[in-house]
Amino acid sequence: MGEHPYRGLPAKSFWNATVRDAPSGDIDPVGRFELELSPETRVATSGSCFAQHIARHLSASGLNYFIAEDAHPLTPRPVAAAHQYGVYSARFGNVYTARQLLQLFRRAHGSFEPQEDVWIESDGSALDPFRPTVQPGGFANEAEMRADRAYHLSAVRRMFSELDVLIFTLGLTECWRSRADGAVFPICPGVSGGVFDPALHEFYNQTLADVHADMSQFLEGLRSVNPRARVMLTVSPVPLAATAAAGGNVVSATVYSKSVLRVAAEMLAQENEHVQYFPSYEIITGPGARGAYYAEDLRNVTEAGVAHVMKVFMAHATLKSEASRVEAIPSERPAPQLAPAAGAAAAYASASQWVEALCDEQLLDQT
Amino acid sequence: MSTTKTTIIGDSHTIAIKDGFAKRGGADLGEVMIDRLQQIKNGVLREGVAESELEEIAAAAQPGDLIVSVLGGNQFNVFGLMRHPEPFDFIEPGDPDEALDPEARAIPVKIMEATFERFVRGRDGKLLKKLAGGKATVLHLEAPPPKDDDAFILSHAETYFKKLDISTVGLSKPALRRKLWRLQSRMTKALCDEIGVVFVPAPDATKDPSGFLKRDYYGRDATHANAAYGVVVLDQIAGHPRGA
Repeated sequence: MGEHPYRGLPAKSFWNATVRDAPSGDIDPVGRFELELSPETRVATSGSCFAQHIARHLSASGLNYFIAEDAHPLTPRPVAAAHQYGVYSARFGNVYTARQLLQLFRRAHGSFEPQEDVWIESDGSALDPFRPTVQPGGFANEAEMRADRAYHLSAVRRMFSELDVLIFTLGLTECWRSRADGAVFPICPGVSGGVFDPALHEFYNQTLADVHADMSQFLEGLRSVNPRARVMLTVSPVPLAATAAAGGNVVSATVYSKSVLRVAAEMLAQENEHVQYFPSYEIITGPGARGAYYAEDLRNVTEAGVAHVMKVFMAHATLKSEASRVEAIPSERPAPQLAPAAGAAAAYASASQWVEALCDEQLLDQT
Repeated sequence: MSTTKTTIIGDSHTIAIKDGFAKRGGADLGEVMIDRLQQIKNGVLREGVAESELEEIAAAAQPGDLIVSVLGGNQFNVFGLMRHPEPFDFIEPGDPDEALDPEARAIPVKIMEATFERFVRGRDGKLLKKLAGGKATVLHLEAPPPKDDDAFILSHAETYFKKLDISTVGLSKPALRRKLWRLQSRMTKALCDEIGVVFVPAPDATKDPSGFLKRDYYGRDATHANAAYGVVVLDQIAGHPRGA
């Protein structure tokens, strides 16, 4: 047997060693990953609903989860949590698409002011079209909404300029946007506020070129306000709740969307030294998990899946010299079962077995 | 024929009513009992009605009797009498001051409501529920309106505020104090409506045109009213219909 390029490669290069022979709960799909976090590193989070899990674990891990926008100190913590403070680094709700992230950056820095920027509901309350679910029941009126948004956007500016690492989870390519100026909404108008008007709103499914361009522009903007910022990209393993693509099927649409996002993330990581890709998508969706990281609805991710992602993340991202200073993520859940559990209905009934993130997109299935 | 009873129970705002009773008398109130809840302060038990007695009081009351709650009422002062290091403001529906303070952080009123709901439905709400549900009509008195005289407040602040160095920290703006009072009252009324308790607003005669407590009704400290206020409130109670 002669020499060939595969000889001498590390175990992670080989399927059998990495997947077939590894305990399911220990599969580690990380390739190149050069991000190191210390307890002093300010880590900000944003993204689709899966990113909430990352944020939640970060805040409990001993790492420096950077909250740029918290509730007023007089607000009791349960009340703050109910109003989505701390879910992400600022109260922007879920940021599903690359365009949304770019738009958030531009709005925060005054380079984009969407025309459709308030929704007045039938009860007189006001919603922020770009985060319509962060304030349950809506804002008292437009003035309150605008005051809160001004504070919010100033916090977003601070987040971008002061963070050390941004973890961004790419979630969707499908979006709804304003025909007037291209502003994208996190959820279709009319689903969780606002009124859908086909004359004003249109569906758009981002292409690979779109996602790459939007993310590249965002990275450029972030660099301009924070040259030291590093970015970790992940792709949400949560399938689409619904597709609006003409003639589309939600399963195929999910594969399209995740494929585009995964490729875009790879391209961005290869092109930008300060950008890393972390394979949470692979941990949850990979054959090694045998589907066990999905809840009974086959969409939501179980706590065990999230714990696996965070275990691998912490193993790679925590400075080895700092390891003792950062608490390991407690393994609250057993490793995934290798075969579908009997009595699945009982497991489904147990909400503790899976995690329901505050996923606006899920509202699509309730309309 | 037995005499109807008026039982007035509460916390510190009960003092003004007790003092008012001393001035006014209460022949039109039937048999009157005014007392505060027991409290342990600085390690010393101050005698009064035990919380465990409230249900017995409610059960013993007869139709035609009045039970008047003066429970709590000062949360809005504890929350916002002093200027917070991160000044805040909010829009209180119906408040004369609809504008937000541009120098303060705007807190959505829904968040303020959720915050005060926890206060209102905490200890005070639980005790009020013990008084409700019997044969007597149960009233809950709105807390006296806030004072707008900053100099008076600073010079007459209670020990609680002095320990927090109120003179250095300073006061929140009067408009905010009024909003907090209105918010607390709104949340308390909602609870009262739920549990069959009549929420009795502070008498209009005690408020100035801006809704603050008139100077004539100031008590000796930053947050309480005086005997004259107690007299007006007792008139209010005496005029309230009693169940048959």
